[in-house]
Amino acid sequence: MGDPATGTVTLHLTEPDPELPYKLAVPHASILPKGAPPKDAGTTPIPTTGPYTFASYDPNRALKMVRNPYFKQWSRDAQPEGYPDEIDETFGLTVESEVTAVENGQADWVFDPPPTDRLNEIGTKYASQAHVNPLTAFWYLAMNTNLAPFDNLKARQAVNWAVDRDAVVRQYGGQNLAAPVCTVLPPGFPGHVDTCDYTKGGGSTWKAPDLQKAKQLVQESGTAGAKIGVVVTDDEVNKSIGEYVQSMLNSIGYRATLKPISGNIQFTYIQNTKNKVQISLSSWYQDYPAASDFLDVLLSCASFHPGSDSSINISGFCDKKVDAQMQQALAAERTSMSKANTLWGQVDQAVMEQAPVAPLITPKLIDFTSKRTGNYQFSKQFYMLVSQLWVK
Amino acid sequence: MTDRAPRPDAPGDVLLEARDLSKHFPVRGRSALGGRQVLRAVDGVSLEVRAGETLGVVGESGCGKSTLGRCLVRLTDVTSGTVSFRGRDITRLSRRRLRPVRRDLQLVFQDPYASLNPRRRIGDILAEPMQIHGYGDRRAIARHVRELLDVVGLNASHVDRFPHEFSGGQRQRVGIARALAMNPKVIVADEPVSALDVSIQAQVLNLFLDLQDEFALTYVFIAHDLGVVRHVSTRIVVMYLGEVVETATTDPLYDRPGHPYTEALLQSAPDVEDEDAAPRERILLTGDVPNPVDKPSGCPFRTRCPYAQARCAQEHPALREVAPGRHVACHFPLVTPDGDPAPHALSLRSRGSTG
Amino acid sequence: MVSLAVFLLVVLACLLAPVFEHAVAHTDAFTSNISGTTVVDGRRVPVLTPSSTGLGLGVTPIGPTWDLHHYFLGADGQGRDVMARLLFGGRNSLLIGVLSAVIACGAATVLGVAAGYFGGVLDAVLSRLFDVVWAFPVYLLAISLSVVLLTSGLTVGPVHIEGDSLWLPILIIAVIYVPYVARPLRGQVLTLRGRDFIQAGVGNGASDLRILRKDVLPNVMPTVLVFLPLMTALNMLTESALSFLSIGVQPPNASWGTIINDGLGLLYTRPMVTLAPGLMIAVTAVALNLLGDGVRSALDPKARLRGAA
Repeated sequence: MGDPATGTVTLHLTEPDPELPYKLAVPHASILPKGAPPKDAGTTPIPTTGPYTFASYDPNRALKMVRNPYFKQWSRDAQPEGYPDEIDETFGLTVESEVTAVENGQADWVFDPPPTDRLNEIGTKYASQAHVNPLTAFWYLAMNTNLAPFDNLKARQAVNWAVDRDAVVRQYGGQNLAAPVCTVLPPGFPGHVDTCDYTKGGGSTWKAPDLQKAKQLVQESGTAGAKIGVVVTDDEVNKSIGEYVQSMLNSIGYRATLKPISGNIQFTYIQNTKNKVQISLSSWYQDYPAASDFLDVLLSCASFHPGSDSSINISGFCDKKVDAQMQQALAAERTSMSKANTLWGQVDQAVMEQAPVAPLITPKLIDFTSKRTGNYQFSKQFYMLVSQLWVK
Repeated sequence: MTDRAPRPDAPGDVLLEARDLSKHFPVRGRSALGGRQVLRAVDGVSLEVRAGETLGVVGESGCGKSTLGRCLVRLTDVTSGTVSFRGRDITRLSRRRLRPVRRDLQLVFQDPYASLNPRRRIGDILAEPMQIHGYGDRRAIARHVRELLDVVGLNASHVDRFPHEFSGGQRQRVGIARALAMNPKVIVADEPVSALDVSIQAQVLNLFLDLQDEFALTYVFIAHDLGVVRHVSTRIVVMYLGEVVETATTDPLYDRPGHPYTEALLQSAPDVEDEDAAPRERILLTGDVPNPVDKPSGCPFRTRCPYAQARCAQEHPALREVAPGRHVACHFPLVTPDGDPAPHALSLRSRGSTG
Repeated sequence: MVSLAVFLLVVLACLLAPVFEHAVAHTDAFTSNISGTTVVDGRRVPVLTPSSTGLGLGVTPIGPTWDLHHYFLGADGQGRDVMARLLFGGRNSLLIGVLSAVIACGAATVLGVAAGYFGGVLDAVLSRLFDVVWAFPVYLLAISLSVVLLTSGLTVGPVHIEGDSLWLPILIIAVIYVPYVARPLRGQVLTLRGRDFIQAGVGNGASDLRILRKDVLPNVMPTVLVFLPLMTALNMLTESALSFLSIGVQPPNASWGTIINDGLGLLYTRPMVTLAPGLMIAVTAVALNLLGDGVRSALDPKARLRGAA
């Protein structure tokens, strides 16, 4: 509830929520005028409280933002004034031409991830314009635990044994852009424990796939020969990883086909159980630095909504015991974060024993800016701060 | 089913007969009066073909003689009227029923270049009618093919050659051989020598005559060259705009034409007469051949006839016997019942006493 | 003659693809080999080499080694031997090209000759059918059919064709090109029908079937035989276009079109992946076209006379 006189807003909670400050900082919690429509407003811009406002928007051509005349910087840390007077985003170019435009100085930044075949060029000839930053995120294969063949534990474990995470690293762009992961929580993240259940020869970090074991598990599971559709987005990197996954599934005894889908719809497509997706390539980037943001959000029973486009528990994983462990960890957050993180680590372990997902890599982000751009700043939450760039 | 052992035809028996035969082709567009336009290619033709004779059919291009030929052998459907072969009405028989008739009634085509399939060897072409009618086994057929080639004056060893390896005259001989394959009774020859060089024409014509003697054939010989027709025909039919205007035996027709059109034709043809005939007055045909779609009322020839009277426009002249063996479709025929020239005939023939 | 030799050489090479794969290159053309290694100049190198200079970003497949036993034309983005895939892809491209040409020409002969010879209602219906199919821009129709049929496959009565079967592109391409061959054939038969030798057949009491068999077909066959290599080339090109758009041959099957698509993301670094199949398509198509010309000259019976004289 709000009090105009004092200019304060008070939120009453039903129970303590240690993650509330994080939740408020996420873009979901933006402030809107009372009359703003509760659905997609299309091309009509909604008033903002930040340093920029929308000047024009043509979904097929361009978006233009100019300084918001009503903005006054009240806190540098919260919301700093921006340097550029005007921000123009142009749509419709291929990624290859976007990269070329930045190289030629015709644009200042590439929004889409640079294509793999230009990475070498960017990393050598334009190294000073390339910024590589670690992300708290992971790419993974979500396996549908309610649909054949991955309703079978051994089949899911076989996938975890068989996938060559090193190959996925290469497909993503090499060791300097990605690292293999075995757990849901990325390395360096609160609660992360260095363990790897599915590496050849054992150990705490991933070394190599074990195809023999995988084939054996497939045979034991009785699912050999099953037809599998691998659903990925149709951009270059995802498609090539998908092609590798298809090849890998074929080599352990399945009959896999690749189904690339437009990036506009793939994310919701794989969530909806009506589409009967068996295995898909997906990724998750932190909303805020809390383990629950990965484990609870992605793998709790509450996150599974059959028949809905919004069912972020893509695997449909619902294990009562693991759920109970998650509740315990959440409760522990109110009292001791470190105790909670230990519990989250155990949840991660428990989840990986059931293998509803096959974690693949943790990616780094690469930003390619033009020669004239300066003051590149990176935030783990918002990534490159566009408003803080200046151009000479 | 055809009778396997037909009784032999006595000379004079009517083998092929047309009664009021008409063949109309629909034409695009409408007449001035709004009706659908029709091309009356053959318009009420009646004639008889008797065993052993050669019936010549003459007329200018477009008079319908080729169409008539095809109607007689049922290569075209007939619009109205009848065609009978050996007393049997074949006008509306199905192709299957017609098949036995086709052994006995054959057509020789005009264009030697188009009437033989360029992709088939001539031995195969000649064998076809035998295969269709079940002449015999392969050896018998091959033997007969060689015989046929021999008979028409071709080298039997050329059995495996393609049509393009032969000259026009030779190809026409193949066409004749094909017509002879199953020993027909009647052969309709549709301008068989028109496409050949003059020197070859004589050879092929003589072949026709020889074959007629050898195989007791009856011919219907269609042509536009009066000299050619005279050489082979025993009786002649003259056609104009789809109608028969005169029928007569050959010599009388040439000596004393009964129909003004026949007279004009003979006038315009060079060298048809005996050499010792005195020169005559030339009667020039006036005007052009009318559009066959839009035939003149009454007598079709009246627009070019030097003898035309008012009656000719009002009343269509019927084909009637004006003298023994002589049928003319004219209100003012040029011969009297005795066979003498009519008084009003313009062309005076001085031939001594031949009436 | 040269064109025939070239074409046969291509066919032979592609047919021997498995031999090349196992005996010569010792590789698997269909399994990803991203972490694999190979031998170049006596040294063992990774097939997908990470960048080692500057920021060390990106991974590049190995380029052409010109060594038949080790990645002759280099590797593609999945670490597979381009040469081996080229040969296997050729098998599919040629198979689809030839089969769809044969089916198209066969169907077109039956339909076109029937329409031209029998006329009437049959001709009216068939001609309209040809017009409708031909009115669609070829690629548009192919794309529409492919998109629909590739997901669910095709079921006609008891026959079911899987979505990733090669028969789908074969049949789709065959169907869309039937009018292309059928209409000229129909025209030719219409002309033939008026020719006297057909009438002569009728005059001899020949049945329609006999006339079709002995008089019409032999005259139409040379046209069909000339169409065959031309249609093979045309269909191969169409198949490549469809596969390039990912709606023709489906992975794990490969064709020259799919390999060109594979090479798209490698154009800057490894152009050979796109160039090699492109070149193969061009060479084969040219050879087939020249072969078609040769067939036409050979089948003209008058030409033989001219030549012999």
